[in-house]
Amino acid sequence: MTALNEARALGSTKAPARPSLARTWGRAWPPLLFAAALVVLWELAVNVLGVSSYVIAKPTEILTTIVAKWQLLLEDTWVTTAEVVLGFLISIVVGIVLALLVVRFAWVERAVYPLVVLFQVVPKVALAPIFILWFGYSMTPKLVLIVVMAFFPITINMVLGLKRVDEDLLLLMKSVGSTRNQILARIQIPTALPYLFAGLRIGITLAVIGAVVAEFSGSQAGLGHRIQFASTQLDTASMFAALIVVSVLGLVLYYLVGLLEFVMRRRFPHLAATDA
Amino acid sequence: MAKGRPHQMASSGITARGIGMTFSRRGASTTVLESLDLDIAAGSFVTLLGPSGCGKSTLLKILGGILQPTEGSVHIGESTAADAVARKDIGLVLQRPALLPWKTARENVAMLRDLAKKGTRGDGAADRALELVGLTHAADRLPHELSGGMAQRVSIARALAMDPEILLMDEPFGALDAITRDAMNETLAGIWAATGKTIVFVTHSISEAVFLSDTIHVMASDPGRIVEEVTIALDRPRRAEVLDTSEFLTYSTHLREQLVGPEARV
Ligand SMILES: Nc1ncnc2c1ncn2[C@@H]1O[C@H](COP(=O)(O)OP(=O)(O)OP(=O)(O)O)[C@@H](O)[C@H]1O
Ligand SMILES: [Mg+2]
Repeated sequence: MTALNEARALGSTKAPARPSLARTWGRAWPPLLFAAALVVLWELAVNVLGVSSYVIAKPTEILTTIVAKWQLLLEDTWVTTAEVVLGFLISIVVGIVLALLVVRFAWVERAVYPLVVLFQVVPKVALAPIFILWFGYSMTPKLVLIVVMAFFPITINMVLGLKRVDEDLLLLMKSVGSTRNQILARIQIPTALPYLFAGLRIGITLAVIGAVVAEFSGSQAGLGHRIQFASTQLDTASMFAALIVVSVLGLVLYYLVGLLEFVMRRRFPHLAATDA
Repeated sequence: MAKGRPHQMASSGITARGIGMTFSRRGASTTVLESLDLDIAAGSFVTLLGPSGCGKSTLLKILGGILQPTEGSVHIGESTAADAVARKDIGLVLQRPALLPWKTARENVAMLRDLAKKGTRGDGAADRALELVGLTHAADRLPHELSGGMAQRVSIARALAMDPEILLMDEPFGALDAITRDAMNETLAGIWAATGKTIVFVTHSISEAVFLSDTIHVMASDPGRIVEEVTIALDRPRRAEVLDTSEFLTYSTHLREQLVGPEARV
């Protein structure tokens, strides 16, 4: 995480390179081609080796399952997407507010922050059954698990960014009698934006994991539930179908975060060039 | 503010008494300044001249009320330095430009002025300040699109736009080529003459110090202290030709000897 931030901080002093469509395509085709080759190999291997379809489904089988069950998958996708998006939005608010409190109030940093950091050693995935126990089969336990998993990288990156302010700028702000809040709003928060986005990228992937795990533990719908249910039915093709859909969902959400960063570069050109 | 009324503006002088500054970190402490007294007359142009690391920047920050000395006190006019800061009477040019990377040159220049609530937003003061430092053409550029010297001039414009009574400048022309530097020196002398601001200027350059100053305080290091006060009695307004006069040379030679130290004089 830190290495990533260093790299971004360094990169931010340079002019952001404008990603052209041609360049994006130039970078995209080698992995796409390689992926296609793997899929073909996978199909051939299953055929040639005669692996049972309970163990592993063929790409063609998965594709036909997706087509055949698209309505069901769409419903599950909607459920999971709603959980992830809502949970992630709450995580952003919690993550940012906590970071601001940490840098603004020394006692929060001294009394609360160490506990938050310490809490990170708890394997949060293991909390899913507990949240189900407390909050039942509603959407609540999913949101709680997502927030518990996703807020931390947002907070820790944001704190890092808020503290990485040019000392001389602080002195200049002081020289006109600026308040702590003015310094926070005008200098620290904009300075922290590239760090915030580094945290958001990690956070969104954790939010997807949180949603799927919460659905494993107790749910009537959602892509996690679909995978879990299909496994009890030995319906391997459906498992893979749901797995692929959830992966695509994760990818799309990840790129949406990248897109947001890209859009914000109009106003804050120091945001590093995105990989999206 | 007081254009056309040279030296009659209600500018304040600076009085520093018994200034000591000791930085301590993990037990080890360094004394950077020790029992330093300084009197700067209202409306005068004063230069701090000294070797690298002798504490010029530290002293300037203390005079500007943004660094609390460990010993002694600073008064600006009748009030404390902290009060002067609260009144937004002090304009600062630090050694590094310290610009906001996401704001254009114009926005950077306007920022402190807006925060200090001087004038009204968008009243063109930022553009006038940029014109003074010769950067009208670069007003819409971002800091990473500026050269080092240009960035430094933006930071000078930022202080000028504040129109402060007291202007504290830390090697503001350090990153400029000789020609631009001479031009900026003349501009600054002009601004000073027209507004009657009190200016405290830090430099390594002896000729720059002689050209600009009423008074030069020569500093020495370990611990940082003022070893001599030299009054420059050259006529004003001074033009570039003054650099070639014998008086100028006399001052320069004297200051060079002061800086190099008696052991080198043989
Ligand atoms: N925050 C600090 N903590 C510890 N030491 C400091 C700090 N700021 C300055 N110093 C020390 O104080 C001394 C004087 O520093 P200062 O920046 O005032 O020198 P200077 O005269 O401006 O030098 P230069 O001409 O190179 O800019 C140096 O030895 C420096 O290491
Ligand atoms: Mg210095």
